Amino acid sequence: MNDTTREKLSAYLDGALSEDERRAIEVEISRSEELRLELEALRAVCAAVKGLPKEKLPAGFMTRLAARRAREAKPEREYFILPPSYRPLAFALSTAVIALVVWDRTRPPEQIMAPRAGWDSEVVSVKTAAEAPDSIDLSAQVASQDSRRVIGVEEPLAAAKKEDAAGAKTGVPSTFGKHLNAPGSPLEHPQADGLPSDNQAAALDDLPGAGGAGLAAPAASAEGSNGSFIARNEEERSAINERLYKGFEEEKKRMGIARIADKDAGDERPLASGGREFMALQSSPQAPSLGRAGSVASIRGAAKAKRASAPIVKALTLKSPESLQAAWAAAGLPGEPPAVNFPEQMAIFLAGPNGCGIADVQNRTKFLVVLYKEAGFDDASARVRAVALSSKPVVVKFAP
Amino acid sequence: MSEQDFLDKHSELVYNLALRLTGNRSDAEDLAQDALIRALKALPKFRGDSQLSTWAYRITVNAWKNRVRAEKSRGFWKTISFGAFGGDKDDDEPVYEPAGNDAPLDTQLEQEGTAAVVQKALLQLDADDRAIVVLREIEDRSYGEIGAALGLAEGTVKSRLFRARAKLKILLDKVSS
Repeated sequence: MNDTTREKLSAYLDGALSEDERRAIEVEISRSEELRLELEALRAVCAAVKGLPKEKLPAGFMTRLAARRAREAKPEREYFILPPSYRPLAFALSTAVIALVVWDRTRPPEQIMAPRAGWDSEVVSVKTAAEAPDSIDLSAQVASQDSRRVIGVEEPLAAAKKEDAAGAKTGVPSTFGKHLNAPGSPLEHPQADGLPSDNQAAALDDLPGAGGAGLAAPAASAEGSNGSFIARNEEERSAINERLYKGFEEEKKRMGIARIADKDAGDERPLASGGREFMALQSSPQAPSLGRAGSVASIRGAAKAKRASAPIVKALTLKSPESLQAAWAAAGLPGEPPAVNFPEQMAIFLAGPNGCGIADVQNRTKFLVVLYKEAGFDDASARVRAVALSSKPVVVKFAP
Repeated sequence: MSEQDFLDKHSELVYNLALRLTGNRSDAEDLAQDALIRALKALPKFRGDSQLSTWAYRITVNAWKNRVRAEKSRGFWKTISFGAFGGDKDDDEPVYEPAGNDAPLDTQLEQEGTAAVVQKALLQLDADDRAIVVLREIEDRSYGEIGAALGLAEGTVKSRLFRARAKLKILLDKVSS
């Protein structure tokens, strides 16, 4: 007896077979003792289940039902704003928003300012315009930047010798002799400058004219056994000085620097050793103060292999006509700077090589991004861009 | 049909079905109330495609299956091992363990001989099979009505009823022996 026959037996009990099927199964039952016993067993099972007693409703059932109906009929607000089915979505969205805000607040500026594809430059430093003092001492301003360039150092000869000995241990180049006190005596001084030592060569390479090798050669020739820049005698000092001075003059010209620090103008910084540092980007004698100048952002070419003589370009945010005029004059630019609607607007001034200019200024959420080009701008007014007054940090990027 | 008429005619029917499905009076009353409230809410939309009793059965069975699923997911359901039935128990089919002071129906029926054993055996069947057997044997519904109540084809009802009866027979045979 197979399952099909058994299933028919089950249906036979329920009277669910067709007339033909019923006759056929009755014939089979009459012929098979096994089928008959199976049928009896199924009947017993059905009878057992049918024998389960039916019960009356429990006492008070209807009353409790009515009470429950009344209770459930009250409009219960199970949610405050969103129905429960929306809660996972709301939770996920709010979590994502919080994560985004936290990430945005905590990520380092370098991450924000990482060069994008096609921009082969990197931001060296940024200072917010909001932090700018009312009256700027540009030497201090520049000195406060990580990328400031100390271009001249005057050291007492005794101190220089002392530091040379220290340099022999640390490998940090030391200073020049006492005769380097004339304005424009150039030296990239990594220790005072704060640049990492491996940036020193790059910084020196940035000096045009001396042109990397040209600058390195006298430095190398002047290197003593301790590896520092030591002028052992007057002749060596003169040779080094001449080469460095030449390179500096060219860089100064390229950057539009009117003049450098002048000890008579008081724009020097004393050194602990008793010497002095001279700073680049000083205001001209005609404009001793830039007024309420803003930030200085500098970049240095990152892809030095491509741009071996990557210039340093600085962007000033200037908030007064006087400071704009001063910067314009300091850069030795002809004519008058373009009109800027101070104080509703501020001027972004690009200090850099001749022909450079601002390609675009992008007002991002947290930054003002100044895209510049090194050449191709015949009009000096391209160095100035009027933008709405903002306290956002300025990021300078090379626009290829 | 008014709400009161519906309650008068079908409350007991729904309660008895709930009693056999759940296995204890407390849960049966809760399930029956749940099903009746749902039915009363939907009563104005009843189109008369089937008998009102079949429709009420369907609501009751669906409410019960929803509870089984919900309770299963909450972990309140667990398998009751019936020693009398040995290893033939279907571990995948949890049956409700009566809570509180409400004595299980099978215990209360113990003095009634085979009824208690049959109730235990019924609780061993899975949800659909139990509903099919109860509707067929206790409520005396046709295959068509059972199919309509459970959303199953008649052929499916026929074969599942056969399998459920065969399983009940085995369970009852074990107890007898």
